[in-house]
Amino acid sequence: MSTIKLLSSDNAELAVDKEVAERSILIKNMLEDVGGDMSDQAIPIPNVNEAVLRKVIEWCEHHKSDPPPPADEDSDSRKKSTDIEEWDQKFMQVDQEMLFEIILAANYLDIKPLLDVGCKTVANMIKGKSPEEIRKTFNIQNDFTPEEEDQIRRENEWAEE
Amino acid sequence: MSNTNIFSLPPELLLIIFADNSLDNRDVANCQSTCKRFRQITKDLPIHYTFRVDHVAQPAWKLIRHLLVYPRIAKRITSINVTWHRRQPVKLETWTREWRWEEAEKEKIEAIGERRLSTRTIGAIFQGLNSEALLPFLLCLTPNLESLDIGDAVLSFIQPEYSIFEAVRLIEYSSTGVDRTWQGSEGSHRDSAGRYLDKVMDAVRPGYPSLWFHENIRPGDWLPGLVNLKKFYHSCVKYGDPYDSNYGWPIVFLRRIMLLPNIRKIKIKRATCMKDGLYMPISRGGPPKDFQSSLKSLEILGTFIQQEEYDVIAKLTGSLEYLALNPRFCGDHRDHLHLSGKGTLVDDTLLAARKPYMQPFLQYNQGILTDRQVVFTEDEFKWNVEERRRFLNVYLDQEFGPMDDEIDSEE
Repeated sequence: MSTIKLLSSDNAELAVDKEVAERSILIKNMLEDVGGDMSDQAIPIPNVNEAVLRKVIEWCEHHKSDPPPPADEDSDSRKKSTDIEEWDQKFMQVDQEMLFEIILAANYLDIKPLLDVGCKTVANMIKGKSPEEIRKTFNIQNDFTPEEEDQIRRENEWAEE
Repeated sequence: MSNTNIFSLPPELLLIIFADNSLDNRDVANCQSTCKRFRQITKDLPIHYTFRVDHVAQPAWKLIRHLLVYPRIAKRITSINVTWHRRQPVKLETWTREWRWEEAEKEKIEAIGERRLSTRTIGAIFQGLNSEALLPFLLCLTPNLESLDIGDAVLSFIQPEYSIFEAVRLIEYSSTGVDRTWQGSEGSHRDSAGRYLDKVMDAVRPGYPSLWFHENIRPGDWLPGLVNLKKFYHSCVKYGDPYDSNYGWPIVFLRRIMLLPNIRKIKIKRATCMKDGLYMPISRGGPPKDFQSSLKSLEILGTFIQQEEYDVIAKLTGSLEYLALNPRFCGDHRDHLHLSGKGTLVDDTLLAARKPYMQPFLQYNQGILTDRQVVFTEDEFKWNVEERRRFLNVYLDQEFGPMDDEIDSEE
């Protein structure tokens, strides 16, 4: 199996199986463009540092033989996949800084399933929380005036269950 | 690492998070109240709304009251799922109070609805009993609606199985909040209950024995919420006796749904041509002049309609890529054919039996639809013993309740 090298933003060189690296559509397209042979030259990943890149590669290793996701953009499929599989849940048990770094990296490297898992993890941190609890969770400043807050609350009364 | 936090994510990624299907409308509303940035990103987020007919908490009435003040929210609604919570005589916890509007609200409702809805629909909205009448009104406010799932519809506000006294008790409770037991078997008592019921029912029942929704679908003069509709689902599976062709969604309405300008996908479960023992076919008029069907996927399952209706339906298609059928016969006493052929080899007899249903569709969708895209599905109603028992408990207990028996035997 052929191996390629990736160069992180902080200049660490990481060797990865080509198949694993190709979970990233960005890298896959890049390899296709140069005809596949990158064995002697490291591909620069300027937006991702070593720690995050290692984490992303770990995910790609584990998911290297996943079947491609169904191309069905039908809203019926909204109902499916509400859960995160166990391995991914554990994988995402990191501090918030790392979590958002992973999401940004997945977005930049174009690894859609990892991006989905990341976004879903954040959504789960929001779920069921009051506005104040959400602010606390993500360290957000309340920048509304009391009047504005009241206005928004009234506007959203329809969503009361 | 440079202090990455939630605001490091670009708006398009935050949008993916807020649109995640694990977050409900309440969660999104809470995000809106968190900070200006979140509010900006979520304020136009599409809303998937569950419309709960006759639910005791009166959410449908509350929604409409709210939308009269904040109509902008309605423009965000892209999908509606209807769930049914009809009042049931044997379950007091389902008895819902009547809704009362303010005068100013009535004026607004009239102004929005008068050109679009039947006068009777507006009357039913004002009466505040049957919240199903609010659905067509909601469709006046939701021009961006793409998906409408009418759900497992319970067509009648008061089902025919309910005894007259049960029905009166339900309705009286709705307006007074007092549960006055109407019983006894004296003729005069029964007459006055009947008159009371007739008066109320006139206002809560749509003209054709079906739904307020249907009463307000007019081809060419569509409600705003139907113009961009791409998906329509309807089911009547849990309603009434599944072996009785008098129960089910009146198939006459299928034609109107098929004529919607942007419809892509229709799925109906359990429709019928029978109404009170009469055969009510789909209009034989065919498609209007210059009509081009946009429909790609059609599923007609568990239907009590004659084979010729399939010809009529096929004439209204032209761009079908998928077709699923589960025909049942009606109007004669033959058992329906098991056209799905499950567990058996597909033999010549089966193919021959399927052919007349399939043929018109292949003909009107030539070059797009082949017999490989036509599916004959399972019979929806092969219930196991447990399901059958549950069904009998829910419906037949009411139908042959002790009070009814007493009354009938004395007359």
